[in-house]
Amino acid sequence: MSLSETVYKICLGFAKNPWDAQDLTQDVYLKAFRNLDSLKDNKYARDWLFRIARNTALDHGRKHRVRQIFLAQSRGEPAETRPPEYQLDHAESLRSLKKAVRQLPKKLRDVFILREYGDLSYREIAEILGIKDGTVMSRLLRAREAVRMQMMEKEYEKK
Amino acid sequence: MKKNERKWDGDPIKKIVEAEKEDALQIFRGMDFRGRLQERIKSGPKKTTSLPLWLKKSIPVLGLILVLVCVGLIARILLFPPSPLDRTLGGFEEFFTKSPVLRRILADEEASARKEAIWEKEEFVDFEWILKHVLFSLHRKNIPDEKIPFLMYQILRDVDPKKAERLQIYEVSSQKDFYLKKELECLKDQDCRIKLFSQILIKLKEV
Repeated sequence: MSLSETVYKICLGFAKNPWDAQDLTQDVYLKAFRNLDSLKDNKYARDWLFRIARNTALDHGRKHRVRQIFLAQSRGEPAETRPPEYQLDHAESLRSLKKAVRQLPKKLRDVFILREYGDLSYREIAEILGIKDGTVMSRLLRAREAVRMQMMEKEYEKK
Repeated sequence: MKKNERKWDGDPIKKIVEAEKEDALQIFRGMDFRGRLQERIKSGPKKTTSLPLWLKKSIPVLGLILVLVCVGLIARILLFPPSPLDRTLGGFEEFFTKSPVLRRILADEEASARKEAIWEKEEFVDFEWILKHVLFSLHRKNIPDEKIPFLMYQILRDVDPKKAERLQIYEVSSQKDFYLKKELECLKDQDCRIKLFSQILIKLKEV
């Protein structure tokens, strides 16, 4: 897994769809390129990049919330090779998951996305967010529980 | 924790996330991410022109110094209000004009002429500063203006009784004016002036 793919996956957690995530990843790299001076030690490049990813995604979410709605409608969807029933079911679950993640408190959402989407270790997440490993663990448990509850509620409403 | 992780690995939510990532990665790999990025880097501004590190670090320090200087100036003004007698001729004159007794002298043409004569003398400039200090001290000690000429006359008499006597030949309309005229006469003589005001300072200490 390349570094850009990890950044992309983190962006995916914050974005609404893969295309937005790609734009976001581009922005992250562009921002990193323009601010290379602020990187003191190459040893920390990975964490530094992930931190930029997280901050850019949060900014992006604030600034482009409205724009995304229009852009998503105008973009071409990729060709789907899976059966239509699966597509429908999966799309519904995914929408529900995205909504649940979006509704998480910021602290929990950051940890959830960095762990579940970015596949980062507790140590890395702690470094990026400037918190303790134990805090990462507890926040992650709470975030997972909150997402689960949210999705169950959604399921219940549907039935 | 490991137990929790294992439990989570089998969770349907985890599966949805993994499926989403898998699909998204296919899209990502199908796009020329590197090419697009290079294009954007080439077309966009090279780098943000950031301030040098030493300047960035010194900004808070400079800001703090500026704040301290401002606080210092304000405190100085509050604790030591500027003297009503600025070290200027204008400020000095202003003090005289504000004093009811001295204003009366200034209103008098003869006294005004004398005053002008005194002001024009170069030697008076040296003396001006001493006089200002004396008057300011009087002002600070809250001695009423009308007592100043008498105080000055007393001192003059102590310093130079002969000169004080000689000055009595001047015609005076009232006792107060007599003191004032003597005071002004004394101001014409540099030695007398210095002695006079040295004595004033001593008297003030006694007060």
